Amino acid sequence: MDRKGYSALIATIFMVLVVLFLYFNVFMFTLNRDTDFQDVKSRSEQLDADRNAEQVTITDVAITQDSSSGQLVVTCTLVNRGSVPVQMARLWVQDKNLPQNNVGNVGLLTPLVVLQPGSRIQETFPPVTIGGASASDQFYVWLVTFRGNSFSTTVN
Amino acid sequence: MPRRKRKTLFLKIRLNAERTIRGLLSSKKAVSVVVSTVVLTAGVLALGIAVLYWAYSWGNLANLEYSRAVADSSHAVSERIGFEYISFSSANNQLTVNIINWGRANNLSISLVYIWDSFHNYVGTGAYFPSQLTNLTTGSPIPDNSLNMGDEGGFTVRIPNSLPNGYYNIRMVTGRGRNFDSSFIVP
Repeated sequence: MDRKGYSALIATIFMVLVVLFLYFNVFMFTLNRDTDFQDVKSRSEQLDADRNAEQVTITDVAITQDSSSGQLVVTCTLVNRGSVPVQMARLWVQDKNLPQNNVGNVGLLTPLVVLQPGSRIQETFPPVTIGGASASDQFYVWLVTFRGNSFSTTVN
Repeated sequence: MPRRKRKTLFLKIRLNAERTIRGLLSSKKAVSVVVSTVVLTAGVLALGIAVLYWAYSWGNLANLEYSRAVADSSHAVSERIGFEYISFSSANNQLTVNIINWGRANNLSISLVYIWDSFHNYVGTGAYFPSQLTNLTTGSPIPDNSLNMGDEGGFTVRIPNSLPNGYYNIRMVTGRGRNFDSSFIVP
């Protein structure tokens, strides 16, 4: 019985198996990483979609002045007309009657200002300091959300 | 079998065995083949192990590099910046930019700021290095000069010349290479 060609055949099969095994490992590794990246991309697109879904209306804005500190107290009604909950990050107030240093802001972390979809809340924000401002001035007020959106209105 | 005949047979077998063993021990014909086979096997094994470790270390390195590259890209893709307020002070030619990190990536840093006018001409040198990020409420420097998720911060850019009234565009380049654009008006 002639067995001369068997060793070459077996070696070739082993080599092919080893190459396939290595290729499969590399392929699976790359595929896993690619899947992870696609997940991140999907989440990132969802972020943008959520941001675009934020719609808040600011109405009934009233600005009063604290008699002792001179700080401005902003009260308004917020309506969430969008489909996602909205959390406010910061209130900005600009006094249009002052030429410079006319902007003040306050962070809205305590207490949290969160609007559920369809909700309407009346909110009195923490006081804002603008040197030389008067409650009767014309103001530009805007709220920044934690999704980076700004919703604004003018007062007076 | 008779006892004497059996004894003779055993003696013959013993004699033959001794002769064969002595012959094997005295003959050196196959020793070189055995030694060479052992040496060859040892060499092949040593080389095989060396190649295995070499390939393993390179594979490990490639694995780490690829994983890091994918992680960096993932972080960059997750970066988002919202502009809260941008103002220009003509008193000291200083642009103040207040931002919020609303993405899903921590350690967001600003490496460069580009400013150009409404005719797409660069303002001054065009590219500026931002100042240290500061807390919007306290004005204190933010540690590591970077913003984590949900953090707000402000920085300033000193422009060499005063800006004429008009509309300007600003582009911020993050440490991970993402661009975020906005605009401001110098009244």
